[in-house]
Amino acid sequence: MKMCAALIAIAFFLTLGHGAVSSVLAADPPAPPAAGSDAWETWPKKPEGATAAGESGGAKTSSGISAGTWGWIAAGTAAVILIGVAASGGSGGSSNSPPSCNQ
Amino acid sequence: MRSRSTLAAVAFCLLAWNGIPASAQVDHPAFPLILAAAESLFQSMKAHDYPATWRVLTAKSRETIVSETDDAIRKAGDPAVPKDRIRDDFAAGGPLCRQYWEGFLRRFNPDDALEKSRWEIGSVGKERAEILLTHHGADHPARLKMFREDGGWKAGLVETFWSH
Repeated sequence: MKMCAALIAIAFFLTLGHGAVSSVLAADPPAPPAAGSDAWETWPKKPEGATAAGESGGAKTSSGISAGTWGWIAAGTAAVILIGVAASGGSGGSSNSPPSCNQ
Repeated sequence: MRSRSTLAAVAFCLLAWNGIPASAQVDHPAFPLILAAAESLFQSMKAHDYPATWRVLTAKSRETIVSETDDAIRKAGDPAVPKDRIRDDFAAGGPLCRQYWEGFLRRFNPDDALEKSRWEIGSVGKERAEILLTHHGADHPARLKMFREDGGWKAGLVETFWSH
């Protein structure tokens, strides 16, 4: 029974695989790009000079608009950490009860 | 005793005066024009209307952008473009202009100014003005510098943000 199931599975996958391969083979191969065209690009594409200048300007503007935002986020994060530390310290204090073996 | 009360009166006046500008200068006759120019800077960026963005920038901002684009083109090893052509390209919304502003908008979202910031008028003078843009969550505002040039108000993008 197991052998039968295995054979059916193998036949199924072979059929699927053959279909996929044959359809790929049947399709026309893609034409290579003409020499000097932009069809072949390196990845990641190197930004052009003007784009790089724009990115630099955009970064300056973005950091100027949101000036101090990270300060608040950092302060908030620090406050949350401090509260967490204080809370764990408080709960740690309650574990100073005598060990159970003394009871 | 009298000198103390005089001093107190002077101090009160100074404190009161210090609190006045933001509200009182809203009535300044140039305020709507200044605000419209500042808004159009970010709105034209958002609409990808780059020639309009170019028109609302100060001469110093435009010249700095042209120089920086020229430098970046050389640094990238791209074919050199004369500065005059770069200038014309930016004014006309040409390919260099589109590359620049598309790079710019990759790093800056105009909605950070238009939607996510509180706008207040700062100082207003004959030739210069400041608009305070406080981003949501920021502890201090960006002071957008506006300048009167060629009979209109222009946004000092470089003058405001490049010094940071």
